[in-house]
Amino acid sequence: MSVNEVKIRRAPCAFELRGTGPPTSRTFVLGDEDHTLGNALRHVLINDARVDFCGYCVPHPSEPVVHVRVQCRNNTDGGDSSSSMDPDAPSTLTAIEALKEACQTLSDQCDLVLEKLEEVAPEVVEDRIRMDKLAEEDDREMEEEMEEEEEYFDEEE
Amino acid sequence: MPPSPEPDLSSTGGIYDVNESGIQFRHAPSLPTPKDGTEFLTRISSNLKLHILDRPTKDELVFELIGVDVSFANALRRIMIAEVPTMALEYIYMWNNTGLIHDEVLSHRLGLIPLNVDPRYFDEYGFDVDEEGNPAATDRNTIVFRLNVSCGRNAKEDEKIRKKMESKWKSEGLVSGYDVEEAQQKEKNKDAGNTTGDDATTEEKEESKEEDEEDLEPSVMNLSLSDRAATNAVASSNISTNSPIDSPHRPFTRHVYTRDLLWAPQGDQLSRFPLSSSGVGSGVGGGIRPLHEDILIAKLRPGQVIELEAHARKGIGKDHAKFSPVATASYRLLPHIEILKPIYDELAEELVNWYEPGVFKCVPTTEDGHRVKAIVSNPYACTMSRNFMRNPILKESIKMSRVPNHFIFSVESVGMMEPAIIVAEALKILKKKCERFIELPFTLEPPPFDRVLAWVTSPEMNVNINRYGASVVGAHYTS
Repeated sequence: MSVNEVKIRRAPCAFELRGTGPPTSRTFVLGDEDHTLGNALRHVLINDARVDFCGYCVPHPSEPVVHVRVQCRNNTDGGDSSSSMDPDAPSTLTAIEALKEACQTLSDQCDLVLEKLEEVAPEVVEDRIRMDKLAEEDDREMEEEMEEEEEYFDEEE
Repeated sequence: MPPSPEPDLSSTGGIYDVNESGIQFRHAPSLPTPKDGTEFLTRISSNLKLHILDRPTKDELVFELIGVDVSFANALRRIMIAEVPTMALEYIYMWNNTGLIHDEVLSHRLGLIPLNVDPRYFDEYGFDVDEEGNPAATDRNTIVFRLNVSCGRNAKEDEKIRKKMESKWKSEGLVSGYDVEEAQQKEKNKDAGNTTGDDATTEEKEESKEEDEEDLEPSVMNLSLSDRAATNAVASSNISTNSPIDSPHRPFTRHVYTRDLLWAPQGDQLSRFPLSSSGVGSGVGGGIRPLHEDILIAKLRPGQVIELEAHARKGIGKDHAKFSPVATASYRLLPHIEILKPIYDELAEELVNWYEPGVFKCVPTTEDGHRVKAIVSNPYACTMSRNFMRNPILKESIKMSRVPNHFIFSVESVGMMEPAIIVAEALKILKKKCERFIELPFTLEPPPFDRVLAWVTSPEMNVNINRYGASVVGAHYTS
């Protein structure tokens, strides 16, 4: 008997891109994500001068998807607008590029915080070293097993 | 702790002012939006600070994270609670249960028992597959426990039954809570024997003695002074915590504890998790056992039997709360307290002793013939009580606010991992979440309208591009 009968629902799609028109505006459907990533990404995206608008929503609380809407500044469109004349105007970015860059930024931010954590908590460093060693041993074991298998097959031949 | 300096409002964009009716955000002129992600990061890294404030026990950690947005802090908190994986009993195979507790309730109770094993030594179920591609249970993803208890007519007969069963399970290679205690004791004695002759041995011996005492009651370890006192009081009283209450005219009752759970080591599990090693929390120790050996699972009356097998799997708190590695993980914003007008004498004493003890301090002063003056000594102790606002003079003199980018995190681990490691794991998980989308192909654009479907295959995901946009179908990734 399973202790919990109700399992987490998986999203039908891991990633979906919605919207037509210029590629600077898109809605992304991120499967198997929720407010955790949606809100964090939104904050990174609105802190980019090239992004005009970014918002996120979870359309239904029981569906494991989050929608992220990204609208970037479109400088190629309507060339006579004052913003495009400005030499300091930020360059154009497509929505998908903005999303990927934001993901990279957020990931780098995690690295920064992790670095700070390792500075103050020696146990985290110790733990990392231990886990790395363990992973190495596992890899070595795997390689040895592979070699043994190869030898076995060689013998058979 | 020194009083915090005036927060830099330009980096936070404002501050939360506390007034009688609640809390209000006061906007302040902020820096212009960063021109790209790199500038955003440099801005963050120049402000980012992380300090450990307190470690009340081994399983608790209080730290402050300064210079991040609330969305990041909240993501961290949410991941710690719901997405850091742990091992817990998930499948129960009930062979026999004539006890009072229903099968469902018993399996639920078993599921909630925290296991003292680092989940990172295990894979997720479904990673290993058999020849037909179905998920297979292996020694790298499943921990097997057995519970095999019955109740005799009285304490004497019950003990006899237990002894008989003990020899049986030992021959089968099963490990109970009693065996782990024994093995660790043996290892300790061996160590003590080896080190005699050294100059520093006396100290070490004393230490190991203390540890031995702790081993007798594993769950008493790391308890606060008051808890320890309570445990000692119970131990010294006539009531033994280990054996059930046996009184005349009352049928014998057998208490089933987690120490009765038998661990059945699979594959190389016994060599990876040796019985002799000690160490609770992060790391390998004492085989694979429940975190506490004295959790009551069920009570049995004479003749009743429970026989079952339980399989532990890896899971996350999103699926079931039993998988959550933390009892609580929360944050609050640092209170910022300013004294606008000096507070003297009686009023100062009233403030120091009645409102928010620990936050303010009286210092002697010579100003204008006053005796003492109140100063802010420790804003961390502030609970944001607004009681002082009932005094009109105090209300005018003190301004209370919260710093919006200064988070005081409190993480309380259940015990499978050290709290700092849970934080580190949470950060790694957030990183992994981001990496999923970095790997997307760069030009995900819909084809012209006359083509209905086109497929682009990236190494990581199948991306389906149709005229409505692109979607990824059936992508598998590890979380």
